[in-house]
Amino acid sequence: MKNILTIAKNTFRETIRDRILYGILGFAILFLLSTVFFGSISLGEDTKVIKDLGLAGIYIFSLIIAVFLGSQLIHKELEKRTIYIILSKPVSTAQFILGKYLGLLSSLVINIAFMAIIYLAVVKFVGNQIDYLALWAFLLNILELSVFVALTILFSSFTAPLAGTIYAILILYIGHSLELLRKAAEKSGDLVKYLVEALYYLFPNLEKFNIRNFIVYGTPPTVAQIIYPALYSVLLTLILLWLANLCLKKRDL
Amino acid sequence: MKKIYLSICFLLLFGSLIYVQAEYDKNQKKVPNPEPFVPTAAVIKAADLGLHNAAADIAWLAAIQYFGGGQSRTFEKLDDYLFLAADLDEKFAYPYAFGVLVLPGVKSTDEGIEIAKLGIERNIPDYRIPYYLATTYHVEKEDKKNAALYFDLAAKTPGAPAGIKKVAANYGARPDLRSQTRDIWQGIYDTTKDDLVKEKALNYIDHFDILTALENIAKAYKDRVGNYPADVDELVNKGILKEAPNDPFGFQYKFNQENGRAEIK
Repeated sequence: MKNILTIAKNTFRETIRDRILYGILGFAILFLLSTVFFGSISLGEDTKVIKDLGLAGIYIFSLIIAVFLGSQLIHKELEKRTIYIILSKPVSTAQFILGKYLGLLSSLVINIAFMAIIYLAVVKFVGNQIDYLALWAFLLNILELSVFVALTILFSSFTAPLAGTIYAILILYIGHSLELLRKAAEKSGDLVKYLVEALYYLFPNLEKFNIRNFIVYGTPPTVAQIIYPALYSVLLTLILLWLANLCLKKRDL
Repeated sequence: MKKIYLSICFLLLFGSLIYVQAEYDKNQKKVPNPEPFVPTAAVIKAADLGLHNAAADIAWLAAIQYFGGGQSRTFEKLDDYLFLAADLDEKFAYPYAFGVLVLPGVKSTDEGIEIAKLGIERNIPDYRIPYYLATTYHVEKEDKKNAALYFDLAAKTPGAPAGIKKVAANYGARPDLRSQTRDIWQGIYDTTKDDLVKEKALNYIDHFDILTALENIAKAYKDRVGNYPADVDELVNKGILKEAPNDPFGFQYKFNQENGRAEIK
């Protein structure tokens, strides 16, 4: 456990010092503030537009940060050969992977919290209300990011950063389109239906982490809307990290 | 010295850049804008990572820019934008209400009615949708049966203001169609927060007030002279009016010699 926490702490420090992070965060803040302008030209729908675009912005920017920081996480260690030093000590690859994962995720949580504070301040300023419900949306955003970070770590354990980023983004898109795909397949023949059904369970289904569309209209999430995505996120993250560990072990280190 | 030359060169380059941009903008104004391509909601939903509400807002903002920005003369894509916003975020009430009130003005009355009915079908709890639909039936279709039906629905919608309930209750009770229509627009003016809709409602209210005022003057004129004036110019020429009233829709008026009603020339 100590080893994991040490690696996590170092990864957290490393990611938080990355200059790319501040560039992206700068744009995120600019975007969140600009939602006030978009709200003002929406013919009286200010609060709705600010909430929609604000929550969407936090999600997109947190993904961008995860992509930039996560895709190089393992690759950098391999390229600089620092991984050999770490693994030559009594540290297993599983501890290394888990430490990297926790370090990056905690860095992302801090970033989301920072963006969330700005979002809440903007909503309070324009709509004169504290959007408590948005906290649920942020929680599920973090749970989805947990899966996404595990995914980028998995890809960065066996492929180049660019290829890993592309694979992760593709899976993200598929993960959000599975419901649509399933609906479309309902009208098709049995073979297609079974094939789509298999894909539906095989690929990460990420649409369950999206409750933004309810939150904006003031509908609080049900217990099931929080519990199942949380369980799904934990299980899927464990599977992905386990696979990443296997991939890293198979490499000639 | 070198620094001064470099600074001058930089300023010249920057000035040229501004000049090229200004020339480009001037040239762009001469090029007619093509009608935009509006994708379907299914296409957007497949690509927006589940951010349907944000995508709906962007479609909504695009609709406002398209309508208010003067990019088009025909506004043939306005209904597409509004349907797109409504289909991406079905609970987003305003595209339905705005659509039924504005689309008749761009010769798309049926599309306006369609979008409002879609909103009512989807159980959107916003009184503006049935109220504006009733207004469109009353003004554009002269369909009192449907107008009464939707005024009643608007009045029963939770959160409907008292003024709206009053208009709904009085609908059909007034013998004078004009004062009835004026009341409907007054209801819209009093309740909307949207400047565009407020302006439209105010234009109608002013228009009806001008008609009523002109008829009162024409009646007084007849009492004095013995006949109704032919038109507003006659009232101006005889010094009764300082100038012709400025109708918000740019209409000019004449008077019916039988009953003194003001009519559009």
